[in-house]
Amino acid sequence: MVVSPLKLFAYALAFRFSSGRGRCFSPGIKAMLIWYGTRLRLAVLDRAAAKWWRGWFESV
Amino acid sequence: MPEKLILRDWLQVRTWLAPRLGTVRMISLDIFDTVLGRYVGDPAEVQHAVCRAVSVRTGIAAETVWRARQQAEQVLRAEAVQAGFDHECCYSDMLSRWVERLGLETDATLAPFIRQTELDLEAATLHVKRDAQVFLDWVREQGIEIIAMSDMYLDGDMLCELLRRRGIVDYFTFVYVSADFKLGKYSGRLFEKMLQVKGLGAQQVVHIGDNPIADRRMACRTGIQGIWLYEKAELRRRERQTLSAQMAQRGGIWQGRHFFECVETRSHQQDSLKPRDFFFRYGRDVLGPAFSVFMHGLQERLQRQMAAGKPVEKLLFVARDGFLFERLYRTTGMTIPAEYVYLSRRVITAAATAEGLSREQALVAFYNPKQQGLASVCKVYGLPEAALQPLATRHGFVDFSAPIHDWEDVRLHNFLQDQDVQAIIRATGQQHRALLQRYLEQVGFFDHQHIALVDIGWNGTVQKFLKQAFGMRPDFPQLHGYYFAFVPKLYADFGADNTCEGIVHDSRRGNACERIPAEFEEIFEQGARSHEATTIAYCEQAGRVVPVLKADTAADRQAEILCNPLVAQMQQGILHHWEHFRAVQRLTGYSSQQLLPYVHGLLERAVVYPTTEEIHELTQLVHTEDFGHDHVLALANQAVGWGDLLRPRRLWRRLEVSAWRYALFEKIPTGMANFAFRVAYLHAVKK
Repeated sequence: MVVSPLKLFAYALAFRFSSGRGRCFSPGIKAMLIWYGTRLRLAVLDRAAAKWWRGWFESV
Repeated sequence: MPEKLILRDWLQVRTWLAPRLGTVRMISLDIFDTVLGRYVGDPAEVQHAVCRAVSVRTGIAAETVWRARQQAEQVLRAEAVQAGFDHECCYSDMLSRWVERLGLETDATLAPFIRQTELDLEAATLHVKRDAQVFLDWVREQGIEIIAMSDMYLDGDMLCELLRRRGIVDYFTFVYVSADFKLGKYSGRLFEKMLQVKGLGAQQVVHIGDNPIADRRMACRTGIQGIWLYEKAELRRRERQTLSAQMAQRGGIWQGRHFFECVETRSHQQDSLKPRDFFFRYGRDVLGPAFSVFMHGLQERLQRQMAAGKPVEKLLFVARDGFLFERLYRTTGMTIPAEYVYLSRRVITAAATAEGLSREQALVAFYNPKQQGLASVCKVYGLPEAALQPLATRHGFVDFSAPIHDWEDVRLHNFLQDQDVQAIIRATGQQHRALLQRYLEQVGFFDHQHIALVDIGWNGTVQKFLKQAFGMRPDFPQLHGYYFAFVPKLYADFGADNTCEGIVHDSRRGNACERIPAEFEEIFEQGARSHEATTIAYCEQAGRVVPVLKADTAADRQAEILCNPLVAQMQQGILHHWEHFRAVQRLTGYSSQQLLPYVHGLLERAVVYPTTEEIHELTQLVHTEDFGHDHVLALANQAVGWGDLLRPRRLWRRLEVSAWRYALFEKIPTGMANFAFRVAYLHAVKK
């Protein structure tokens, strides 16, 4: 049910290559880059793990 | 001094607790995100949804309602701090202040309405975490008392109601909510209060929660053994949901993606343990979103009509593909009377020949690729072949069943000009028309001024011919046709007071991206159709006109009956999706227009880039049509191989006549062939 933004972007390219219009279900390249950038940041920074270490270093 | 405990799941909690059961008298549990999970990333979405509901009821802008709520809450929290309590407020107090701020304190029914809406929406976002339920059962078996401890603005009785609705209230002997005592866990004072009320020593209590400060550190500081339940997967899921909600602010597909992610989470929490077969999953994950957004769009249009002072007085769901829509409509709680009506293109077109058969009408029978000339005309319009066959030979038709490809055929022209032919057609047409008219009177068609027809689409044939056959009656209603997809290829003029609209796709909007349902109409018809046969005529029974359905012995009907269990599975999946769709829609407030771009993308994936499993399973279905023929349409022909690419013209012709063109590329991996063909096809078709 949940389709990745990259796939939607690729599907919309078919419209762009044929009619020049592909905005309908394209996520937009800027928004897509923000999405994947944020996902990468979340994966690298791993706030959940940071939270765990914070708890671990607490004295009590 | 309590231990520093950070445990990763409920099983670890149980393992730690088991050897210490002798010394533990009571287990205290945090509720939100510990025992109960949420389908949405941000709990404030519930508050926004409540404000929208208040806005609809009172006519005050939702933003103003939201601000009034925030202000009422802030004032109460400040008052609590001034009085020496924690920064807390309770919902009941906040509600009366909020209503006062809106200047609606005279409306005695508003506060109960808001309270009820808040409870309903909050309950709709919550689910009991599966492992938590297992843990609760285990603790109860050990005979240990369980209490709930929550930092929450809802009153204790409201929290109890939420726990009751989720079926776990009986596990708890008492519910301590910060709102009731104006003391929070985060200050440790709610723990102290609890120990004081219960008369227990701190070392006899274990508290478990997901917040490292409020649930572990502060519990430990009061001497209670606090356990921080650190569920990493759950934390990541909430992070992703929050990101989805943020992206939704950008509009476009992101709103739909956020919405359907919530629907999927909700559905998954309740259903993931049940084994589901392919057709259920296809109904739930592909057709469900498409049909649900259609139903949502239909509701919006009906409400708009009502607001404009021209309410639809009756909804007629047209057989056979209106069957599922009628079932979905029944669950909405809308009060407009609705009925499933046995109309088909066959019975409507037959009635339309009461004044004779025009060339234009005759040509309709030739749109079918498997047409059999005049035999098809007779089948489509319910005309007597035996009576017309001798007259056809007069005009040079040797084989009555030979296809007619030249639509300017002189023989056809002469045949239709023949007065004897037209006399037979008129006599038969008048019989059909009289019965149809009585049937329509029976279902109350002429008793209302505004009637809506709901159907899957595509050409609006039923609507067009109804107007043509009975439009001259003074009591003929204003007809509104609401279609899943509207592609008026056959007719352009529907007459005055006869409007049509495609909700998911309307070719008149000229948006190539939304025409995807028209690329594989058959699967949508299969998903929505009734299990009954098509209506081929009417007859009189005990003073009433009843539909005559196609016999189960017909070859196409036999094939259809074999597919009925698969269609039933698909429809169960769609109904399952619709249930979750409605709950999430109520919470998020998205309109059908906001969801449509994503749904078009979802359908593009399913139709143009199907998986191998989808191709194998869906091509088991056989497709029939109700235009009088007995043919069965195969949904996919032989797959395209690499060798076929050497004969592009022949391949193109094969693809053009195939019902599901994109399924033919299943042997060519990566989806690149589908993409290339999609580009070529979009170039070729009229946009």
